[in-house]
Amino acid sequence: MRKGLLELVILQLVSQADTHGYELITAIAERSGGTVQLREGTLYPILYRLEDEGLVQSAWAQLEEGRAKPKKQYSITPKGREALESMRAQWKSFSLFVNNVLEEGEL
Amino acid sequence: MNTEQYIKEILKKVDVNRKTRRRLREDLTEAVEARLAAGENLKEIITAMGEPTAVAAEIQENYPSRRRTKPELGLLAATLAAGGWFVVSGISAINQLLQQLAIKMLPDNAMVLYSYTMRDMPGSNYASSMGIIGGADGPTTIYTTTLFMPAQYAPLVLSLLIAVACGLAYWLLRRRKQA
Repeated sequence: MRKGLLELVILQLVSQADTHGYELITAIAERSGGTVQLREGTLYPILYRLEDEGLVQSAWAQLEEGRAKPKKQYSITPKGREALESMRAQWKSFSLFVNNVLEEGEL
Repeated sequence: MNTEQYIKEILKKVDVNRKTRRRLREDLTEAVEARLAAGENLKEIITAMGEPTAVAAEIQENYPSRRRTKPELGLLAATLAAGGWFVVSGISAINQLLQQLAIKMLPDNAMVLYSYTMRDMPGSNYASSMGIIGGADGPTTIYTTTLFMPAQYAPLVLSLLIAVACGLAYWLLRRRKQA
């Protein structure tokens, strides 16, 4: 379940801006307040799966000043945007249901 | 340990296909460089990303092991054995064929040489020995060319077929494991 949710989170983050791996890791750490420490060994296989499914694509970005090597950037594809929309809708209804069940339990 | 060694250690411990390996090499190198650029040193980076064994294990969770199974090893061995046999006996068959072609040409030459020597050196032992060579080789040539016919190629063809069949089966089995 965690991997599926990470896929959704990563796809969402990639859709907001073209990013490279390290930016995704820091973005996830920041937004989770440090509770989700995604490591490279987990991140990249997820990115590869998304890339193989045609939801994201990677490209070598232009050489920036002061950097010896170009960065590999991941960006979302049109197919990825469609998939993201349906994943978001699924997650919204599912999380609503899970929250309802959990809240009932608390009463 | 430097960056290169660190990444090499990780890649050594993962069992993935070539494409994934290439992507990992690119991305892990970039990840380390991005962290270096952000001011971390390699020791901190290894603590954050994980020891090579840990990183490799995290990666491997996403990919089924591609270690060769017993049937796959058997097919690979059969492919190599039949293929090797095909090459070795193929070379010897070509060799034999070339030799026969040479022999086939010999009698005429020998005859020319024979008449030539007979004319110039009557009664010489050399000339008569040439005659024997020419005379003995004629029938031999006919004998071996009739013998060297399709039946003799059968093991050659069979070994090639076995090699191709086993190689194909092996390749198909392995291809399913591409991950």
